[in-house]
Amino acid sequence: MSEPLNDPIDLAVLEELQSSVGREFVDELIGTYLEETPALLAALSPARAAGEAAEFKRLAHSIKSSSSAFGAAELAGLARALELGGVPADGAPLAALGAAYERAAARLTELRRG
Amino acid sequence: MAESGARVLVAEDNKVNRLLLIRSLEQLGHRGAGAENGRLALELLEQQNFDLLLLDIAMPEMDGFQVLQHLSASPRLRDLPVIVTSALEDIASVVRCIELGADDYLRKPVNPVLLRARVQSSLEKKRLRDEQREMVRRFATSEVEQDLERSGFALGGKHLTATVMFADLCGFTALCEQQSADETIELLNTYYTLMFDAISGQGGVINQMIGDGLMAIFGAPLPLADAGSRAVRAALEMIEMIELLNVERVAAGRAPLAIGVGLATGDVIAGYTGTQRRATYTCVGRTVNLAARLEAHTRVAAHTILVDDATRATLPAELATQALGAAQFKGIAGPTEVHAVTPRGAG
Repeated sequence: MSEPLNDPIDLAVLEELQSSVGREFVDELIGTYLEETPALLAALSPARAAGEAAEFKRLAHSIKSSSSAFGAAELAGLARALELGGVPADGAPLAALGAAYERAAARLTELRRG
Repeated sequence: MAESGARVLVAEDNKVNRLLLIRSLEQLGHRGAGAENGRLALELLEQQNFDLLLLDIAMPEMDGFQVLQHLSASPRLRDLPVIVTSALEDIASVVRCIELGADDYLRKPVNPVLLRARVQSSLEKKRLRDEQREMVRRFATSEVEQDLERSGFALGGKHLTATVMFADLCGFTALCEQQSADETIELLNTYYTLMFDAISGQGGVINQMIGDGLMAIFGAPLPLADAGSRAVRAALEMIEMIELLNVERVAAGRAPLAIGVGLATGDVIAGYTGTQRRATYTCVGRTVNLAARLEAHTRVAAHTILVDDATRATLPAELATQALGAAQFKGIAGPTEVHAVTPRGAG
């Protein structure tokens, strides 16, 4: 597989992380990220539906901060927009966030194996 | 060096961030522990000793702001260094954290070089605070220590208005020659116990004991309403205590004791003096000198409690005094009006 045109992961950020805490640890950490993040994403929808602005913001913030640690810039950017922009009127931004996560997760899985 | 082996608690709800911070701390030679929300962090801080807290702001159950508020309300945890780690771009949140007592701020994702520098600096600050605290614990009275606990450490000197007391056992040297060393030490211990009780009961702080002499301050380091009359009441109680002790002593065939007390009120310069290994809260200045002179003058004047004009002026009617006229004291410019406090029950 050739690299996608727009890599969802900023490799420079990931490599810096690997060199600072160790490649093996980063691989484990990616595993934790892949385990933890779907639950955060899933919780966004009910928080939006219930209009729980603080909880929504906290979830978006959490997704943003761990995603940016791996250089998942697109995903972190979308999460940040939700964190700062408040509860969206419809579910479209959440669907976009979910899709961005899938791309980032697939790439991280690939990079982790490689 | 100070940074090695520190125990650092990471309060962070996001597991990835938490593990990453703990790992980074371990790479710096520290021991990290994690808490996934503010409430759990506080529980761990209460149960165990940590040198530093890395605190996230946005957390479920209890957020970073609430944690900082709890910390500042706890005498044990108030001085724990806190570095706020948050990706919140909101500068107002950072300002609020600093106002709530956080020492420093790190943006996430945390840069390892910055982490190292900030952790080291916070631990160094904690080490200095711990040293000061230990110094005070060893050498200051509990009142002084508690004042410092409450107000934070202020080692600089300051001008205060206070009443200074000097007290001395009359003829103590002659007494020492008549009795055994053990008896002398036992006598001093009894004497100090009684004097401490009378002085602290009135809100005074004893800051020096030299042989059979002691110096106490009323109105420093904590301000004290009616410092003058409290000091006089303490002096009267001291006399009564000595009289009670004398009943026992005379019954045991020993010589009765007598004390002299000098009190002066006015401006003092108060602060910590000493060296790294021994320090004391003390007061210096003309008022202190005058109190010492008045105490020495009790033998000349044949009265047990002597006070200056400024102290007498603060006394209520029931604390009667007798004007003894002016006296000239060494090191004190001009004549000093001296007043004797009339012991209770002495007419």
